[in-house]
This record gives sequence, C-alpha cells and structure tokens, in this order.
Amino acid sequence: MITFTLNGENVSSRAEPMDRLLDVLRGEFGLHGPKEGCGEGECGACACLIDGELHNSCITPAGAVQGHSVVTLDGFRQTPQYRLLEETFAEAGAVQCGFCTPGMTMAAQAILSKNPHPDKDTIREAISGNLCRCTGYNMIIDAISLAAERGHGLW
Amino acid sequence: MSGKAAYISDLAFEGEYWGKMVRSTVSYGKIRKVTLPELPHGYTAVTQDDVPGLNLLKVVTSEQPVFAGDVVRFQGEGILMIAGPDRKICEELASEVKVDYEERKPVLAIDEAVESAAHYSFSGGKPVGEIFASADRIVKETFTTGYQEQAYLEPQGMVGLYEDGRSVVCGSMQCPYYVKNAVMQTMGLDGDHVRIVETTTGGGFGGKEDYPSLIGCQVAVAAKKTGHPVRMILGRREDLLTTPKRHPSKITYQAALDRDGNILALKADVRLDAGAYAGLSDVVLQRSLLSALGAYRIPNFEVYGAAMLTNKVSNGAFRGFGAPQSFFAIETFMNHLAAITGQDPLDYKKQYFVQQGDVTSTGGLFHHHVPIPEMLTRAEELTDYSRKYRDYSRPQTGRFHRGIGMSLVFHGCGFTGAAEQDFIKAKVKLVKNEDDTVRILVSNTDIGQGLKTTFSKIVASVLELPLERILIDNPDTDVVPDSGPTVASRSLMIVGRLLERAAAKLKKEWKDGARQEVTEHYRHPDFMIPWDGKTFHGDAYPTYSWALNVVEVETDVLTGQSRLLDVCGIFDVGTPIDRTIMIGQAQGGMLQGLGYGSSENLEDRDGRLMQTSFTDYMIPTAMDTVPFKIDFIDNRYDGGPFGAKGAGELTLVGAAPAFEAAVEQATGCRFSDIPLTPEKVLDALTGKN
Amino acid sequence: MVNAYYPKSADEALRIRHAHPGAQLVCGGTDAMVRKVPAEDVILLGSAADLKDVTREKDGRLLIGAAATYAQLLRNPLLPDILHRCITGIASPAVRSAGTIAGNVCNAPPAGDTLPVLYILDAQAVIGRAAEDGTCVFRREPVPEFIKGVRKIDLAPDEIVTGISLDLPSYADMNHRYYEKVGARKAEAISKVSFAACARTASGAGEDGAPAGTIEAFRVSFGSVGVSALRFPDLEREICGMTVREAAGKRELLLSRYMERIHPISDQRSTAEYRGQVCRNLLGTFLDSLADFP
Repeated sequence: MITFTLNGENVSSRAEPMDRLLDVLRGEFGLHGPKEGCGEGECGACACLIDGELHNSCITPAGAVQGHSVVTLDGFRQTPQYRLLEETFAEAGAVQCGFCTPGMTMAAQAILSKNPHPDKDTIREAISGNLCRCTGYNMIIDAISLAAERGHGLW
Repeated sequence: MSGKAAYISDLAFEGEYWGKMVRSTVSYGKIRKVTLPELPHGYTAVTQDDVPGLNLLKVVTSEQPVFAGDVVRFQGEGILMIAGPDRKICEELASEVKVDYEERKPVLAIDEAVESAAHYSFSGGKPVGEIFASADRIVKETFTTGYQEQAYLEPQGMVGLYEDGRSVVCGSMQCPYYVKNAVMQTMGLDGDHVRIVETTTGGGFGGKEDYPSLIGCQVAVAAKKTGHPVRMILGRREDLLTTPKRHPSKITYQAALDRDGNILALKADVRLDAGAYAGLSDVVLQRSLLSALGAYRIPNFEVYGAAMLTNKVSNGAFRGFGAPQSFFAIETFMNHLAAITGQDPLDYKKQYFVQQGDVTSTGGLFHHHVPIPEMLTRAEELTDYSRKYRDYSRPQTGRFHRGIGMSLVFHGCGFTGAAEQDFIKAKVKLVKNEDDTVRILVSNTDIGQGLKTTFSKIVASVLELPLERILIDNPDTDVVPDSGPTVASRSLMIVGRLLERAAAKLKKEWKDGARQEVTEHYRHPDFMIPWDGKTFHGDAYPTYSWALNVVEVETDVLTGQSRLLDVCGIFDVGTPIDRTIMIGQAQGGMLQGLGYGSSENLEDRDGRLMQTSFTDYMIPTAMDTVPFKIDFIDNRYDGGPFGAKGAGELTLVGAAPAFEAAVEQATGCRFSDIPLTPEKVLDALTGKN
Repeated sequence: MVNAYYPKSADEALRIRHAHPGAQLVCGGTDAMVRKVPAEDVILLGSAADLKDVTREKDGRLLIGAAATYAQLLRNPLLPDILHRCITGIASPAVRSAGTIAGNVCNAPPAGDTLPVLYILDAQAVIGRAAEDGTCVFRREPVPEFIKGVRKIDLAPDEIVTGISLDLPSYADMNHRYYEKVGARKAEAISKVSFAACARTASGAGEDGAPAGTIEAFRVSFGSVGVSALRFPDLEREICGMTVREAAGKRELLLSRYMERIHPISDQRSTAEYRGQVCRNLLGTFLDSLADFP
C-alpha cells in the first residue's frame, strides 16, 4: 500500500511502486485534471504538485509519493489562488483548446508560491516544461503575470 | 480551465474495451500471413473480414483500407486491431502478432515517384516558351520543405459503440459529418443508424480533419464485433508515426528576366509528397498551386503541379494546407531575385504586389481591397524594418550577427473552388427555446479557435441578447445539421455568415415564449467568376485574407543557432469578431510557422519517420519565443459576418519565409530549404569560410 | 507484485541492496519510468534523508548525495556556478524537481548533461556496500572510469552510488570557466553538443603588452559526441606549460589534435558534421578567451 496525502486527504493506493502516478491519479482516484499528452515527461500536461513542487506525474513512480503530499488541479480548483488564475487566464486569452491548461495552472502555482512577484522571464522559464501548441505562450505568461499583480497576499 | 471539460480520455463507458492496432513494419508489401498469439477469453482480433460495409475509408475519394487487407503501403499502416478489456494485455497481444510480408520495392522520394494522386497545369498571359528563349537572363532555383507535425496536445482517439443496430462514435475530431459519412460507408448503414458526437477536442490544426474518420471506422467495426464499446486512443509515438502530416514539397521556379532584372515570365513546378494514399492531397495541391505566384502580378506564367504517391505516411491537412510550402518558396525566390539583380527585396517586390481589380493566377479577380500599403506602413511603425534592414546589411563582425526579414502572404478564404456550393451545401439551425434562450446548431467544432465564443457573439449581437442566453454544445450529428467541416478557415466566414442571416431572420419572426426554429442554407456569392476545376479557371476563393510578417533574429555563427529578437504580424481578417481570440490565433499560428521554418525537423529514412516522440520532434517551448507584436488592418468584407474573413490558417503562412530571410541577412548565406536548422546554417557558414 | 523498499538512510539502503542484490535503484525515476525496465525489487532512494545532503568533505571536496534533486541543488550555494548553469539547462522545471546527478551518472547516457561538468571537476562516484555483518564500506572511483560504456557502469549488484564528490579546491583556482550546451531548443532538449571547460593562466605580459602568462591548468570536456563525455588528459598536459601566446600560435594544430580524437555520430537529433564543427568552434572560442586576461 502506498499512503500519501492527495488534495488534502489522506489516501492509500493499491498501485505498484513503479506504476505511473498519472495512472493512479486518473484511474484509481478518478481525477481528470492531469492529462496524458506524451507519456514521456516532455509535454507537462500531466503536471501536479508534490510537496508544492512541480512534477510530471507520467514519469513519477507511484512509490515516490509515499508519505508526501500531492495536489492536482482537481484539488487546487477549490482555492482562491486558482480562482484568480482562472480570471486572469480568461482575461488574457490564455486558454484555447484547454488541454495544456491544467499543467500550465499547476506550473503557475508552483512558481507563484515560490516567487510571488516573478518577472516575465522567470515565468517563461517556469512554464518551459509545459508545451502549448495553440497560444504561442505569450498570453499565458501575461495571465500569470497579471495574477501575480492582482494577487496581494495570495502568494 | 477548471479541468472539467471532458476530453474523450475523461469519459468512461460501461463495459468498455481497449483497442490496439497492429501496424505495418514494411513500407510496401503483400501480407502473406498473419499469425495471432493465443487470445485469452474476451480478447478478439478485428480485421478486414469483420467490416460489414466497405473496407475503404471515405475521404474525398475512397482508396485507403480501414484495415489493410492484402497490401500495406506505408510503415505504420493499420492492419488489424486487438480488442479486449485490459489495455496492457491488448498492447502485449498486439506486439505478439506476427505478420509475414512479401516485400515490394517501395517508392520513398518525390523524385522516384511515378504515380500522382492529382496533377494540374494552368497558365496566363503569353506563352512563356518564347519569352524564355529571348530573355536576357534566366534564374532557376529549387526549394524544398519538410514534413511538419500538427502536435496537438491531445492525442487522437475515439470510442465506438454499437447499440440497437446503430453505430455511435465519440471522440476528438474536427468534422463530425466526415466521420459520419465514413462510418456509414464502412458499416453499411444509412444516416439514421450512425451517430457521431464530438467530445472536447484538444487541438486539431487540420490533423484531425480526416484521420478521425479512420479511427472512427476502426472502433465502430470493433464495437459491433465485440459487443462492447471500444476505445482507441493513440499513444503519442504512435500518433506521430502514423497520422497525416504536412506535405513535404519540392518547388522549382524559373524566372525570365530582362536586363534590369524585371520578371518577364515565370515557370513554377510544384511537387508534393502525398504519401501512400490520395486522401486530401488533391485539394492541398490545388491550394499550393493557387499560392504559387504569391501576392504578385506576374504577366506571363506557367504552373504545373503534382501530388506524388510514395510509400510513406499518408499526408493531409495542416493549417495552411499547401500555402505555407508555396509562400515559403515564392517569397524566398523573390528575395533571391532581388539580391541577384542588386535590389532591395521590398523595393523589388513592390513592383509586383497585386491590387484590387487585378486578375488572379486562374483568371479570377482580387475583387476586394488589398491592404498591402497600410500593412507596410504599420509594420514599419512597429518594427523599424527598413532602417534595421539597412543597418544589418553592413558587414558584421563577432560571434553574433543580426538580420531582419519580411514576408507578405495571402490566404484564400473558405474551401477551394466550388466545393462549398457543389458538395458542402452548409446548413445551420437556430432553435429558440420557450425561455427565450437560443441554441446554435452547427457541425463546426471548437478546437481551440474560440468558435463557441465567436458564433455566440454573432448571434447575440444580431438578436441583441446577452451572451449567456446563447447556447452552443459540442456537435452531435443526431442534433445538428451539416454546416460543413471545420477546415479551410471557413467556419467564421461562411458558417458565421449563415448564423448572422439566421439570427436576422429569427429576430424578424421572434415571438416571446414560443419555441421557434430557423434554418439557413449556403448561398454562393453572386459576384464570383465561376470556378472550373478541370481547366483550373475562375475565382478559386470569394476573397483573401492578408498577412505581413517581420522577423528579426540574432544568429550565432559558431553554432548556427538563431534566437528571435522581434516578431511582428500585421493581419487583414476583415473585421475581427473577437480581438483577444484573434490575437491568440495570430500568436499561436505564427509560432507554429516559426517552428516550421526552424526547429521542427521531421525526416524520413527508408520510409520511416525519424523523430517520433516529443523528445525528438522539437516544437517551440516558452523559452524559444519572445513577445509578439500583433496588429490588424480593418478591411471589412461584406460577405462575412460583421465583415469578418477567414483567419484560422493565415497566421501560420508567412512566418517561415520571414525567418529564413532574416537568417539569410544575418549570415550572408542563401538558403532554399526549411526547416532551416542550425546544421544547415553552420554548414553554409563553414562552406563560406 | 513488485517489492518496494523505502530506506530511511544510506546505510539502510545498502543493507537492503545487500539482501536483494540487483534490486532496481530509483531516485527521481525520470529515466526509469520512460525506459520501463521491469524489476522484482525496487529501492526508492528518495526516502533516505541523508542521501539528499550536500556536504563539505575534509579535503575541501564537495559531496553531493545521490538523492539530492536538481531543484534542491539549484538552491544550494555550495555548488559552483558552472554546475548551476549546467543544471538550469536540463530538461524542464518538473524534471528538475525529480532528477539527480547520481542518476545521470548511473544511467550514463552519451548525452548526459552533467557529465562534461563532472569530468572537469574531477568528480568521483562514491560507492557503498554493506558487508555481511551489516557494516558499510565505501570506495571511490573517478566518474570517467566508473562509466564503462553507453548505459554501463562499474557497479556490482550489491553496491549503490551514495554520492558524487567534486574537487572544488582545484576548480576554485581556475580563472577561466566556460559552459555551453547546444540543443535544438532552449528547454527540454537533449544536447547535440555540450562543452565544459576551465583553465588557470598566470599573469604576465610580453613586451608588446599582450598576455604572455603561462597556462597552468587546462581542462575541457565534450558531451554527446562519444560513448560518454570526453576528456583528454594527455592533450591537456601538452597545453599546460605553454604560454598563452604560444597556444594562440598553435591554435589550428591544437584544434586538429582534439578533433582527431572526437568522432561524433549522426542521429535523429543532429549530424556528425555539425557536432564536430561545433566542438571545434567552442574549443577554439575557449582557447581564444585565454588571452582575455589577466
């Protein structure tokens, strides 16, 4: 059994230690925030937070989260930080097909929780592991920057 | 945004099976024997023998088998499916299937190919032969472009069900009615017995125009055979290997020049690599040919083109659809002609830019205003292009050199030729509910380009209702009429226009509290010179959208790498319906075009694609780009809703030639090939020294 | 059924490996999860707190624990800048949250990003093993010898690499330092060529004022152009002792001597010609920079 905290709740999983965390999150726990875009840790669509740090769940062994805290978009959605990002992403036109968006959102949370006032180059690097084919990235960077501007005390 | 949008991977169907295709490992061969492993209970092989209707995929014509029966024509072609309850077991069983081939000699290059999927010739002005014979100078150059992969973030996938004699298919797609027609043909069912539902689609860019029909047929057959819903989602490597790509091209221009370097006549020979099956290649070729002379008024010309069949992945639609290849070639050729004749490239091109009233290359007309002068003015304001061009023309020293390049392109709006009128015959429906909300019923899909928003805005605006009262769902063929496919930059201009008219009609007939339905049918613009597909003559498009791109780079002469310094796109898309959405299209399209011109190297060797993972196929990351300067020229088109023209593809077309021109200036080298990788740049720089 | 072990310390990890020789060793898993090699026993080293430590050794060397992630190392000021620069160019933020230097060494891929930098830092693999009585013994092996080939390392089934040790004191004396990774894009790129170099030149000017000091130390390493990273101590010894001016005069000869030893390949990422030319250009640029100062 692998025991860990998932979106704030203590859970245990029957997964094998080398099963993909992505499959555990989507299959066993029915969470659809993290997506499978490539299965090789290149696209970032599967990104989640482990102890507040950004990880690609498709290349994370389930065993690696033993005793740690995992947050996916499904849990992050309940927070005021998320609500602000949702607002700025819409305003800045940062969502087109939406498939990269959950991963981008987690990457945004990862950087803002470490650095509440990042400059645009820092944001650019923070999302450098999240591929987007629709937006060209600049509007996503604008959205995260806007959230940092408006998010007094949130991060 | 919240993760609640349901892509096909997020939906579960009771009792569903997984389907894994067994794919050809040879480029061309006869299948002698297929040996299956022992299949445990619940696991089935689905083959051509299980196809109730026709084992041929309906695209434009029907020549590709749904399950390769006797002959395979490219590496990665689907032969049979293993279907069963557990994904991992299906994948293991599929890998244990042994196929015995009698290999035949494959055709692996355009130059080796003999058979074409389509070919056309057309000409204009005086016969070019005599002009070439007496010209002061002839310049000949061949341009090549490589594959490009759409790389939508959501891999292709569908689920097929068979219930009460009906085939139902849901999944990621751009064209529900294309899938419906294909499934009808393959399942041998009429329209009432096939239902197609689009699930939220994570990007398409043309890559999901026709391929979903193939997956749809495969899962539909499997669902009927197994008695269970069958899900097939391609793995990323599988998707990269086997789905349609942008056609590689080889385009040769010959220009007959007079003493002063003026173009007297032009010959163009366009060859596309269609891959194994015709698919959409005929239409791609047409658009490529219609773009072959660029935005230029060439007095006398001859154009020939062919889409050659080879034993490689069958190529198809990708944003631009043949135009990016041609515009890369013609823009670069014009730059080279300017250089050869000692002229500034923009000054040279200005002599030939078309204007309203000019005849097109097929004897049609540029019926509407061509805003090139305004675009040039705006581009100068935003990029300081001319001054930088002059500065960077001076000799540069040191490790890092700079260059700036410009391109000017158009995109014909809507479906090429007479298809809108003769085949698509789009129909839209508005349903007013008793609570006075209005539902939009169209078969067009929002694949990220914001159609749900723009369609709703059009209807809301005409009806003078708040946006929240307009309802639109992902299309379900049981519910929506066929308003045509989501391709060819037609959705906003053609379908949006129908919705505008339908809404106007509804407004006139509006009755509070009553349920009402309004339909509108496509009406061909009467100003168009009729299109003849055989003689390739007439107005291929009702109108054109225009784009001017400027790209500034800094090239590292030690490694051949270039980094973007500044990128600017000026676009005429008529009247933009939603500025934010349009900026998003511009940013995304231009970055795809830059990738096409630089890092997205996709080669084939011995018939097999070499870069088939996101690790090896390099689409730009956020670190590879800079803020873009985007602006629009208002040039209202009365035939479009609120003056809008086609916009979805235009934004990609000009980026690669502008990038190449910039690198040419930075390096002092001449190139005729994309992607312009650092390998090619360094090779040229090393050769120069 | 896979048996998973979560050791709380390096010693515990060694004892588990002793009890289950050949058990799969996993730190971040970023390589193992893509290559999917099946195993019966898996030891997840990330749970051992002392394997994440970065400590100064008695002789001034820096010991980086096997499970210290790239992200942790980026925040650690004890690491030399050149290693920070190298790590910043690895993959993506999410991969850096999990990947480790020891993992990079033990996977030993030809394009391993950290390898050229480790080579010029005279890095050693610190390898532990538990004896029968449960005590742990350690040996050290220079990384270039520890890596025996593509994805082949000199590690016995009962051994675990517990850390990588860097020679900081000698590096601290270097007054010329250079790192460059050439990839197809600025993030998430397997390198086509990478280059790490350092040198120490003594001060001294000739009659004309141009630098004429002696090259007292010279180390260069190339990545992605061989079975592993490449470093040629014999060529380095030849260059040491030359003055900067002498080396400048012999520039083309020195470049040729290096290029004779480097045989890159063509693959889906790049061509042999490109890789070779870039190696030559970067080495040339580094040689030229020796004249920049003092």
